[in-house]
Formats: sequence, structure tokens, C-alpha cells
Amino acid sequence: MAIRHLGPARETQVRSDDGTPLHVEVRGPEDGPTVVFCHCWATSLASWGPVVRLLDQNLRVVLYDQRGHGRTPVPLTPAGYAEEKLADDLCAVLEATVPEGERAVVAGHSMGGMTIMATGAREVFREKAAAVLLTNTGCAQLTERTTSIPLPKALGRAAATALTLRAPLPLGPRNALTTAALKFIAMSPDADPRMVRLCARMVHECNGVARGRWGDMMTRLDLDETVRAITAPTVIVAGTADRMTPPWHAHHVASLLRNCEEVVEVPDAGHMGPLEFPEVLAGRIEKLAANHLGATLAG
Amino acid sequence: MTDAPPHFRVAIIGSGFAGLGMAVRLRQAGLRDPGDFVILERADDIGGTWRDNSYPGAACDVPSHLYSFSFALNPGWSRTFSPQPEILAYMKRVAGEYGIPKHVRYGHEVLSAHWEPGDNRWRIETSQGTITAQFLVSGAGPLADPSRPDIKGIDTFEGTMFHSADWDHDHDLTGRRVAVIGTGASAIQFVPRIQPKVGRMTLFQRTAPWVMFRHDRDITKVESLLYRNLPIARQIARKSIYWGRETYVFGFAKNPRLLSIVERLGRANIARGIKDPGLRAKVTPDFRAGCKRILMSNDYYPALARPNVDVVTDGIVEIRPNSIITRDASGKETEHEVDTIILGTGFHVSDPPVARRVFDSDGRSLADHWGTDAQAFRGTTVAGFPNAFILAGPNTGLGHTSQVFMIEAQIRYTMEALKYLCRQGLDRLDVRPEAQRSYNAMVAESMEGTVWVTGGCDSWYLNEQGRNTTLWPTFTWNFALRTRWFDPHNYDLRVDRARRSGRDRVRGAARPPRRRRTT
Repeated sequence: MAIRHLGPARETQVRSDDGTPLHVEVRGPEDGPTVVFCHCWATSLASWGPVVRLLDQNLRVVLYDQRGHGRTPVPLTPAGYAEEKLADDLCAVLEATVPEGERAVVAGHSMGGMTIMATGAREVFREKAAAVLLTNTGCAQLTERTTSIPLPKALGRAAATALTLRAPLPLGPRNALTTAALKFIAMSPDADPRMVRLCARMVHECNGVARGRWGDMMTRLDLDETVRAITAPTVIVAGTADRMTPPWHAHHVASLLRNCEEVVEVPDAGHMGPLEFPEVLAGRIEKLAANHLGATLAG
Repeated sequence: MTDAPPHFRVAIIGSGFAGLGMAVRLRQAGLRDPGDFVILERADDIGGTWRDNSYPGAACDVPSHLYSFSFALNPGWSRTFSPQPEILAYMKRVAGEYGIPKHVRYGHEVLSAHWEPGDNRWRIETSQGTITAQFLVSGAGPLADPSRPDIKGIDTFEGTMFHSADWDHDHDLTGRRVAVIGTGASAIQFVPRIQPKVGRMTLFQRTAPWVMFRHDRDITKVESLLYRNLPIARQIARKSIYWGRETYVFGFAKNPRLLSIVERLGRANIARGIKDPGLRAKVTPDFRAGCKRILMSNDYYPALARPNVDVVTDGIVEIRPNSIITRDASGKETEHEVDTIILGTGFHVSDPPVARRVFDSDGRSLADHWGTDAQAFRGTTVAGFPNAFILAGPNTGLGHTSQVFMIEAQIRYTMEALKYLCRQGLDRLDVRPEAQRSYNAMVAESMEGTVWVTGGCDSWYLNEQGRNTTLWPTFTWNFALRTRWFDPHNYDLRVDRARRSGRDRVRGAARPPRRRRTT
């Protein structure tokens, strides 16, 4: 597999329903089958980089920064943070980037997966999403199930909420301690050090206020209803060593979906799927594109 | 009845800072359905005064960190005194995030609003049909309707003429002979911007304003980083500006002699920008600083000193098809040839047009009730006009700090009143006339001795009798405290009989609004 999708991206701005300008990057052939990627909490669209680099060159790749992340502005008011807003944003991106009459594979990691699951009941999503890939994500009981803080149950939950999810503190410059903490919380012990550094860099670049607000949203998240509304065939991927969203979530989501094609468990992998097992994800996405978009792959 | 007009619990007039702020609070209280409340907007976009006044150089003369909603502090202001496009963009972002545009009916100008006691509702005729609402909130601010001077022959002018609040952006001013009538807050902002472009500018000045140096600068990178990452830094900036501005009250209202310091600064600003002694004398005001609104500009005086600008202080007697005629003290008339007239003549402040469109149950308009003497209880409610709230109403204006602060205080009061009615099972409130009288006596008493009535000038703050019906006469925190809680003892209240007997008459009426955490 050659390295593809590298060159300069076509950058555009898409206005979400409430006027927020979303930063969108499009790569690959303009007329190719489209894959839309939703990135996770406290990173940016760059977190999908390792997967995009492995993807087949015939695919058209659409990446966007979720609000408050990367180059999409931070919401002004608490009202700008809600799962409905994430859904609005994804719908706006789908409408703006997926050509009329065509459909796309939609892939989401962690909060990106929650974005997709929150969008499940939307008309635009039903119309535009041909297939879905969810990795390292959950739709409910996020603080209840997490094991990222190694303390007894209730304590661990409280610590996860107060220290990591809601804390709006700026992280300051990246250092060995924060990188180690981040690796412990989010990635598997044997993750590639370069990927750990990349992850830490993205998390440190993320605005603390937006991070805290989104974290707060996730503590209260319950998307069971909208997940049931997803009709597109779905593949779910989970890492068995994922502390933030343990594999329980993958099976829970699978139990709610109408059309779950498979649940893949990647042994000993942590939470940062696109950084830890990009080849697995790229393979599944290509397969979904081939099966549901009729994509002919260059191989 | 199929042809019954659509009914809302609350109808809001206008989508400026007042209308938007009210709408956000209603949504936060749980009124989220498009059928719960409506904003009637006469234009095709939101923003009110900040949408209309798009003249070159338009900016706010209160620092942006204070001139914004308390619930939506913006870390991204580019300058200490932000320009109009940025303020408008801010308002649109806040409105968008709260989903307010769904509730707005554009192109709906309110023509009349009648109180119907039998149905306990306001019947509101708009330019696009009728609606009814249990509560009416007017967010039609005082700087909404441009005031055009009544000068002989003004309709015969053959060149281009427009008001600063209705700027003709298609009219190229390059090389034109432009007349600017008025030297108020708008004129001093656009004059320096258009002066380099125009061929000749004649500035007609009736009363010279006090113009202060404005400490306007870009927000530095470090500040911006702090505001973005530490929400507390925004609060600190806002509160510092607030309390700094609040000290102006000592000069304006408590001891006008302190304003001689301001006058000295004003004279220094004139001396800095103008060398010609004749022009200096023309632009130096002859009244106490603060009596009229104190203006802020760094480039106004230097612009007046340019060779292509004339300042005319003689009164205008007539406008002819291609010229303006003035007459000086000795009765000598002068003709000034112009091809463009820009009116910087302000707004209908002490006689807001919206007051002529709101009627009580007997068909008497609010303007008739008031005569020339606008009065309200806590600036918000008026006896004889049940279930109506006037945001930015009488005696809530300011000369020294953020109007948004006052508007938010009024919104809080209105929300407290609505919640009280809901919780207590009431469906009508009407302020008692005696409460309104004693409140206004208190306001009049505080007004005594302030610079606005003793400063020796006529201004848009004053009505025809010289009473100040527009400004709040003391500290703004004083007003915020007075409007912090609803005061049912000052109101006549009516029990909602339908609800007491268990029938759900109005959809949603039985459900008291609850605060939600988000949106």
C-alpha cells in the first residue's frame, strides 16, 4: 500500500445550522466514493491522519473539525455545546460535501461516534449515510463504565468526572508527566511512542474550555433512542484494553442497532483507535465502501 | 374556529440586544417550541440598532467586554471598542447557538397591539397578518427610528440624501460635495472615515459636543490567550470595566463639578487635533460636560482641521434643490452648494414610535397616556397596560456604561414576573398607578442636581418640559437590585380561573417553566 491522500487538502468552510463555521478538509478524487470522518474529544481532524494515509486512493475523504476543536471556533455560550449541535454539524457537513443523490460511509471515533449516534434519527443522515463505522465509542453510561481512573467504583467515577472530563483547565506545555498520564488514560501500554506524542500534542492544543464543556456533556449522554433509529449497516470496533470506553459499550451499541454487520474486538488496543490500529480501521472502511458504495478499489 | 390567529404565550417586538436576550431567557426557562414565543422583526435579519447602523466607522463607545451579554462573554473581541460588524456577528452567533432564529418572523412590522381584556391577550397586527399573545415584551429600543429634521424645503433636494442609520452604501462619496447635518455620536464616527474621500465636506453643527480621547487598541495576543483559556479572565476584564465606568456616576449625578476634569481632557483633545483658534472656538462646547452624551473619538478633531472640511455653526433655514441656506446671528444668509446630504440627526428617543402603536383596552395609545412625559414602573411596566413589558423603557437609558446591563436587569425582572404568575396560577398583572407614581417621584428626586438637568443644554435625554425621561439617574447596580426580584405587592394580579378549575386552557399554561442546565 502506497502512501496516499497526503498532498494539500481542499479546505472549505461549512456553516452549521446555528451559523458556526466548520473547518472542512476534502482529499482524494472529487468524483470518488465519499467517506466522512468524525474525530474524537479534545483532538482535531488530524487524529484520523494515520487511517486516511492508509486509505485507498480512489476514495474521497472528508474530514472536519468538531466545534471547539482544531480550526472550528469555540462556542460562545453553554448552549453551543450539546449532542444536538454535534448532530447539526454532521448534517451540515454531509449536505455540503456529499454530492446530490450520492451516499457516503460515515466513520466516527469516540465523541465522533457519539456524533453519529446522535444524528441517527435525522433525515439528512438517513438519506446520505450508506454505512457506518464506529470505533471506541459508547452511547450511554460513559462515566459509569470507564476504568480510566484506577480507583474503586464510585470514587473512580467521581475522579473521572471532576479531573478529566469537566476540568476546563488549560494543560500548559506538553511534558513527560502529562504525556504519561494521557497514555495511561487513553492508550494501551504498548502503543507506538510516536502516536502517543501525536495524541498528546493534539490534546494539549485543544482549548481547555471547550474540552471541559464537551466532557461535561458526555457525563450526561444517553443516546439509546437515536442509536435505535440508525438503519445503515454498521461495523463496530473496540479495543479490549480501552479504559475510557470499554468493549461493553461496543456490545451495548450493537444490541441497539437494527443492522449491525459485525463487532470487531482488537486485542490489547486502547482508546485511540485511529492512532493504535489504523490498518484495521482502514480495511473495514474500504470494505464498507466497496460493499455499500460500489467503490472499485485500486488495491 | 379555523381562522383564529396563531396564539403565543409571549410576543417580543424586535430582535436587538433586548429581544434576543429575552428570547434566550425564555428558552432557558423551557419555552423551546416555536409555538411558545415569537419575535416580530420588521427587517429581514436580526440585530436591531447594530444591524441598521452600518455607516463607516460605526463602533460602540463602551468597551466590548462590558457591552455584551453576561451569559455569553466573548473571548474573541479584536479591539477594546469593537466595530459594528463584529458586534453584529456576535449577536448572530449567540442567537444561533440558542436557536433563536427559529422563533423570529422576519418582515413582520408591528402596526398595532391592542389589549383584549375579555380574552386576556394582546392582539398584534403586523404587516404580515395578526397574531395574539398572552404577554407582550417590547424590545423596540430608543435608537430604532431615525429622526429626520423638519427643515423647509428638505423634500425638494435633488441630490442624494440619507440618514446615518440608513446608510446608502451604493452611493460613492468620492469627490462629492457632502453636507453632514449633526455632530452627535454617529456623525463623529463617520466624519473622519469619509473625510479623506469626499471633495468638500460642510459640517452643520448646532451644539458642539464634548469629545474625549478614546483608548481604542487591538486586543493583544497574550490577553486573547488568557480570555480564551481562562474564563475567569473575561469576568475580571468585564467587572473591572463595569466598576471603572460606574465611578462616572459620581461626576454625572452626584457632583457635576467633578466634570471639570472631563472638560479639561476635552479641551486637551481639541488642542491636540486642531491648531486654528477660530475652529477651536467653534468646536468648544459652552455647557457642562456630560449634559449631552459625551462622545469618544481620536480622529474627529484632526478630520475637522483638514482643508476640505468646513464647520458651519449658523442655523439652517432652508434646503434648496442643490444647496443648503444658513442664516447667521446678524441675519445674513449664506448658500452652501452640496450634492449629498447625510443626516446625523439621531433618533426618536423621548417619543418612541412604538408607543403610538400599543393601545390599552379603551383604545388609548401608550403615547397618549404618556403625553410628553414617558413613565413606567421600574422602567418596565406601565399602569393600564397589563401583561406588557417595555425593555429599554423610560428612565433606563445610560450615558456612561453598557445599555446591555440595564436590558439584562429588565429581562431578569420580566422573567421573575412571568415565573411568579406561573407558579401562583395567575394570568394577568397590571402595575398599580400609585406604585408607578411613587417610583417616578423617586426617580425625579434622584434626577435633581444631576448634570443632565443642571448642565445648561438641551439634549435628546430631555422631553419638552425639560424632564429627563430617558436616563437612569444613579448607579446601575442600584437599578439591578431594584429589578432583582418581582414585587407582587405593587401589582394587581388576576387568578387564572380556567387553570384553577383544572382545565388546560392555553397549551403549556399548566406547566411552570423550569430552569434547565443547557440551552
